[in-house]
Amino acid sequence: MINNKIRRSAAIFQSKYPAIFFRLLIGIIFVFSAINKLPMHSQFVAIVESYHLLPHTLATAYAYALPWVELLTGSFLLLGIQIRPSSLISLLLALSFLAANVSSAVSGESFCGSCFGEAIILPISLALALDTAIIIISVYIYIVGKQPYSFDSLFARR
Amino acid sequence: MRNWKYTVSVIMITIVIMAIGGILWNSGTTELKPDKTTELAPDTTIESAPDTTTEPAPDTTTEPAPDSVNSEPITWQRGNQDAPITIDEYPDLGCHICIEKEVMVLQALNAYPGKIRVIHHHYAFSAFYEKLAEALEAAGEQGKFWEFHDRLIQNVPNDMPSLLALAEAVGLDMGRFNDALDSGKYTETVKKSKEEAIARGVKEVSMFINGKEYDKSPGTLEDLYNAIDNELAKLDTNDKQ
Repeated sequence: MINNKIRRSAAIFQSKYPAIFFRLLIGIIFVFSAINKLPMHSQFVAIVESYHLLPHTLATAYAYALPWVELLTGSFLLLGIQIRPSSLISLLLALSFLAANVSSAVSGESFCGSCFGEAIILPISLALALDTAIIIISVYIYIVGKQPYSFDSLFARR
Repeated sequence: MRNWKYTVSVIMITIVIMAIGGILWNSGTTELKPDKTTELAPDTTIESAPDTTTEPAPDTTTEPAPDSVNSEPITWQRGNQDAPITIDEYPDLGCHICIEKEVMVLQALNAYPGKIRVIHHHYAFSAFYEKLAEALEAAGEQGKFWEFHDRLIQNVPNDMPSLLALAEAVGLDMGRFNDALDSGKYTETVKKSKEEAIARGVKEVSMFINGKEYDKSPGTLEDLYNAIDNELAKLDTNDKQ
């Protein structure tokens, strides 16, 4: 009885459907985040600088590039384009967010006010949990690889 | 053939996504809502200063009465009350770009005597830089807000000992200064200042020239002078009409 339940759970995990769900979820998160960060542009540079993790030039480059990378990665994941490379980029993004939020937590910050631009102010603990979840999910999506109901699969069939 | 179609489709989708991103990017210019709390002392005319160095200019500043500081989130101002150009600063003193802008504004204040007034709003992000904003208030209590500010932006302290050393160098009464910081006397003032800025539509740390966002980060001194000149030219044209 228990073995059957475990087998059924394992089968669900191995199936493509959880991967599709998680791919869409991360895609939505990144697109939402980008939509809120893009209008901030120059102000977002100042926010990245305030973390004091990167030298001035790198912080500026990161801050200007981040919303665009989030928008493209999120959109590609939503549509199912280049799923593996996109999940790899989402993994790198989540690692950079985790580093920033860990440094904030260490310096005594209670909130992440710039995780989603100005739209949502997350408690730092929740921001850390979200970063960790995105890392795990990105690895999972990378391992699963090709998925049905994606742009790539449409072209693979023809 | 399949690869070719796929590549073209992906490029087209990318272009569409980037175009949407571009629209969002351009939607980011902010205009300030009116500030109801801004009040100036009557005599705030700035003296002419020939050079454009970043030397502190304590004698050209406006210091509100100390007892008015703790009750309401007030703004700190200097320059000519009737100046055609108003620069609203919303800096986080931990942000390199904000500091560079503050230094440039100080230079512009000297380069355009009588034509600029500067309004400082606290907009701190992290705990230590909130403390720096409180330290500015504590210096203001002793009539040395701008003197402390001008020294601070030339060498921003990273910890409490260097902050205290700076306060001492400015000649603050250290007993009163420490009391103000330890008691959290200005914690609420600093928080209210940020809340008020958010209510005015300020998006994160930024600077505004006559209510319009100055979106260089930080840009050059020439960029700032050009923005001021453009604003002055616009006002001149409006006057002639």
